[in-house]
Amino acid sequence: MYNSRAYYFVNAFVDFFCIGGSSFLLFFLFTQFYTDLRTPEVITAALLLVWLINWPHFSMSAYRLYQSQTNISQYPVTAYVIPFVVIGGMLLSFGFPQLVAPYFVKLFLLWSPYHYSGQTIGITLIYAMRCGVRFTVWERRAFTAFVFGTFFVSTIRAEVSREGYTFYGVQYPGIGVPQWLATTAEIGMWLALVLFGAALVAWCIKHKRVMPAIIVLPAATQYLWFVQAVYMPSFQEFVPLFHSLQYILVAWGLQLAEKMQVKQIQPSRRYVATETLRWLGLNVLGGAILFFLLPKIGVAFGYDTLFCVAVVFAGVQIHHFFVDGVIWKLKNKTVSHPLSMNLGDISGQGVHSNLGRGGLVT
Amino acid sequence: MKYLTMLVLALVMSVSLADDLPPRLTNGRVILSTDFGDLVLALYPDVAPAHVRQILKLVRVGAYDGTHIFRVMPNFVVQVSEVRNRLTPLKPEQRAVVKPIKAEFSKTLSHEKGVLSMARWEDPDSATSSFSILLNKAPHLDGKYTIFGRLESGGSVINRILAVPRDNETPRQRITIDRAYIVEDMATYYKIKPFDSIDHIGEAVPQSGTRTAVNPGTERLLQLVLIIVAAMIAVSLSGFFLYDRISKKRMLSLLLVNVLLCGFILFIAMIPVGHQNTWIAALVFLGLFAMFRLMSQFESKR
Repeated sequence: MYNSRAYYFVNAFVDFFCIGGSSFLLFFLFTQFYTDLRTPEVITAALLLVWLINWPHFSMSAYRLYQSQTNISQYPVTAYVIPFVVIGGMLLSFGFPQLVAPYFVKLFLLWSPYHYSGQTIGITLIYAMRCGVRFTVWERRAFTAFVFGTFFVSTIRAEVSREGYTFYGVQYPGIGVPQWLATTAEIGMWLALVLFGAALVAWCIKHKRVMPAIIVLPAATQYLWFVQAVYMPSFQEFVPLFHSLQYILVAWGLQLAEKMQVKQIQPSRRYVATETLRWLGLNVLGGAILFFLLPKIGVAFGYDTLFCVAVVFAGVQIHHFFVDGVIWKLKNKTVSHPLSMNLGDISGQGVHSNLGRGGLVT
Repeated sequence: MKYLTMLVLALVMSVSLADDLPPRLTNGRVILSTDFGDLVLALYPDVAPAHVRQILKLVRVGAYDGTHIFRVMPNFVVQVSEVRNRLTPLKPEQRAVVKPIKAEFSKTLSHEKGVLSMARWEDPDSATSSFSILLNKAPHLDGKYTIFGRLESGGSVINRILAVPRDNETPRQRITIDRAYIVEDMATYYKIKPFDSIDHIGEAVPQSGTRTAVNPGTERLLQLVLIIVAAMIAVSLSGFFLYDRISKKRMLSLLLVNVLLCGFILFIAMIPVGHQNTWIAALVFLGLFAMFRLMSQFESKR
């Protein structure tokens, strides 16, 4: 029998909070007690938090790839070729500010919600693995269709217009897709939700067990971000932070477990505390270098600060999308095995994971 | 009495002579630097002092940098956008300069080729930063819009701008004013960039044969395509030489790099086409989604 407390990296409260609870809580608080406007207070709060949550999460993916020769040799094209491609894109943006920069930024802005969808699917599969749930091909397809459906609905709605928007210092064009595509996407998303719902019910009946809520939470959270709260600018300001919070929880669990296995460190609270501080500290610093210092290089060459911010942000994030696309493949046992562990396994205290109980997909 | 008559006559003559004289110009000239070349603006500080003051202030704080020529009407005007519509948001110090200006309609000057005429909303005192360069006589604007200067040089630049394909009066390609600045020493400026008379405004730009026929925007697109094609060749050559030494998985990733490069150039080229045809726009969007899907195959076995 599975120990349900072992489904979580830390515990039910922390995992629910990081994976989606914080999003729902803030949405509730904003709708009941605040405003949907992007007030100066909202902007200031989000700007302060990016230093601690959003920026470090980009650094974390680079750190995971480049921290060991083993990782680099596992993904050499991503490690060696992609940086050149991305830097090339950034240099072209500086060289052709009107011709390339708007499209480079546009590419990143369209890729970003796609990447969010990929993460939602990835986290769902991680929790499914931890809870010993195996999706059939059709269940997985219905689920994937719903998650990408939310991506399509939000992105296409925005792309119906040809009018440009501004991302920091770069004005980029809209694509101008037909309205019927937006309507089709919406119908498709609801159909996929019905299918996914039916698949869930069928699964519960077949296994005589309720699907653990943590498995469904990432998809529900993405629906909130992309569809339900899409016209709420105050909330939208925090969506990248919620995305990063999910990432940090999983990346932190992986970092602790992987290092413990590779270096054969004995589980202890001391190890958890020291490694957490070291890893977080490094990545907060890394995030500041990537997003605060890198744009200053462009400024030193006489480019407008906001323009540099836009191009560097786009470049760093496109690099992150590539790196994330390869380092989290669950088929890889060096990834899936550490992701099956929890804080109990690593600190030697409390509840241990379901590792070795026969049901985990590793 | 005789002296008084002479004095009155002298005054009347001086006033009529002053009417015939061209208005005094500011010492410096405003240069609008675009992808199509420079437009040199000479301003009339005595005709429209408040307008000239505001334009010069806006130029000095860099507010016009990144604005664009959004309206092109042959035989009538080309119009510079308001500064708030530029590529980058205005900084607080720039925003502080943008204020509505009281109309300063001239009773003597008329709207003709080369005249700079301030744009405004319904309210005559609502002009802020947008202005037009007249390409022809437009007497119906006289006394209704403030004239504050004239185009001194840049006739062939205007002709190149007129040659850009348009949807009605909106150019299909963004005609950006990369930078606006003030030059005091015009003699040196014209040594570096020869004077370009405005007399030939409206003459057709040669379509082929000479280098000047190439639209600078197109020229830059060609440069970009060449750079990206060179990058694709480099990636393909590395794949060719590494063929025996690297695994299929790595070779697939190298191919995907080429797909990305190729997809990006198509993306740049097709978005403006998609603005003319929503089906193409839909294809661009779906193509992009397909490219993202493909990129998730990076470093994985097929």
